[in-house]
Amino acid sequence: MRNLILFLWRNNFFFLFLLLEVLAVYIIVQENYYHKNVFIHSSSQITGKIYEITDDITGYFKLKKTNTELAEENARLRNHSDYAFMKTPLKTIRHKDTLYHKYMEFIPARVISSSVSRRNNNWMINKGKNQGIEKNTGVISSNGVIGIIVEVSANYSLVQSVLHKQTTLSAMLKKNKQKGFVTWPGVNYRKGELNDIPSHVNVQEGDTIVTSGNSLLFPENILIGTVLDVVLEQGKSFYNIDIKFSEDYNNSEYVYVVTNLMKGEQQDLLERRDDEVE
Amino acid sequence: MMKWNNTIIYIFRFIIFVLIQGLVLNHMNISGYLNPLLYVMFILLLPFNLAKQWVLILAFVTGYAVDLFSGTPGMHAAALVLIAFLRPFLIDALTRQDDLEAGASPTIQDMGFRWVFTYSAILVVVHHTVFFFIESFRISEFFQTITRSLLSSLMTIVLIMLIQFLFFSGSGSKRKFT
Repeated sequence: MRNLILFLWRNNFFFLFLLLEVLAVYIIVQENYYHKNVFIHSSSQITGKIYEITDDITGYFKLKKTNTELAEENARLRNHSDYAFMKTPLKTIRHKDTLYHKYMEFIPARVISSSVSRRNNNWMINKGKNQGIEKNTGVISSNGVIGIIVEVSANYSLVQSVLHKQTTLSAMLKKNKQKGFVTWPGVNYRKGELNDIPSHVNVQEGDTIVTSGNSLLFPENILIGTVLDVVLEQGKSFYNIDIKFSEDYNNSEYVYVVTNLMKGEQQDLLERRDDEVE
Repeated sequence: MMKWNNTIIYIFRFIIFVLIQGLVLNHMNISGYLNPLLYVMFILLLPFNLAKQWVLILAFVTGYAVDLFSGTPGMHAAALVLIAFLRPFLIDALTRQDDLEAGASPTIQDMGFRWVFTYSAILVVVHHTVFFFIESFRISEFFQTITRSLLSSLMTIVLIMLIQFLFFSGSGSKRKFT
């Protein structure tokens, strides 16, 4: 025992190094496996505040562009609203609308910390549990898909952006509804990959890619990007497709958190099936 | 009194390096390959006579602080602790013991350009390579990651030498920041 302590003491530099390294690795592993951002959780109140202050300042430089984008979106929404349609009342039909359930809810938020330069980019937005944001909900902007909420604190949430190794979007080609999935291979934040599109499908450069609505996170037909380049390697039955994201992730600012109101029911159904199989 | 002054300067430097990394450099995007991690310089600049155990602990704290800002729990800490571990061996290899004056720091003023360059370059390249590999954690992205670490290292080294020239070269504001 005494010898052991002596041995430890003599090599205290090495063992201290080992201890700290193990601690760091433990934090990394815990984060990756359980997706529990324990420490961002506890610190997000502090870093969140600092980010909010700096973003308040840098936000001014983007005001003009943001305003144009918001104006464009407003115009688009006005086009969908009631008074954009002419009413030609030949006959009045009254009915209680039970055909349409509202199933997606949108909460506006602002990105207060973002990055595009790392392999895995986690962003922070300025709404949290208190504003009704839940874990595992989708985030979109007026130009495209942003990511998935992975952690919420009282007033902030952490978004695992599309620019992340673990993000996979269920996507489809708009013109023929062929489904595949979109991932980000790293490096260039404007470019992604569309996988699993079988080789018999007709894909052209410039085709639009939208969300498929298969995942419980995003509604159908949210823009993701356009096809840049289609390659079919010999002997492969799936295309390699490069896509250009419609969202410019380097200056995303205003986003919407999408809550699927039917998610509980859908998940329930899936779980019930799983139980039966077991 | 002198000692306390030094401590305050180091605390101040710590805050500056972490904030510059977290608020400026992390958001700078020249291309996906250039991603300087300047905060390494905080560990590089610690004086020679500081106990190496303290350097380890400071490295962990610095890395962890940068992690808080980057959303990469533990990754910066892991890479930086390794640097703190390698640092004393590298200093031994690069210097004869009697060359080290009491209270000297690894700056151009005390050690000269060639020494500082070799010392910084080796540690920065090791740090960046380790960090980017932990971050990507995929062999399939090997060449992408290696290019990334080398180009980012290059940029960090240029920044470090620039700061060394501006503040630690002994001309002008002599001993003001050391």
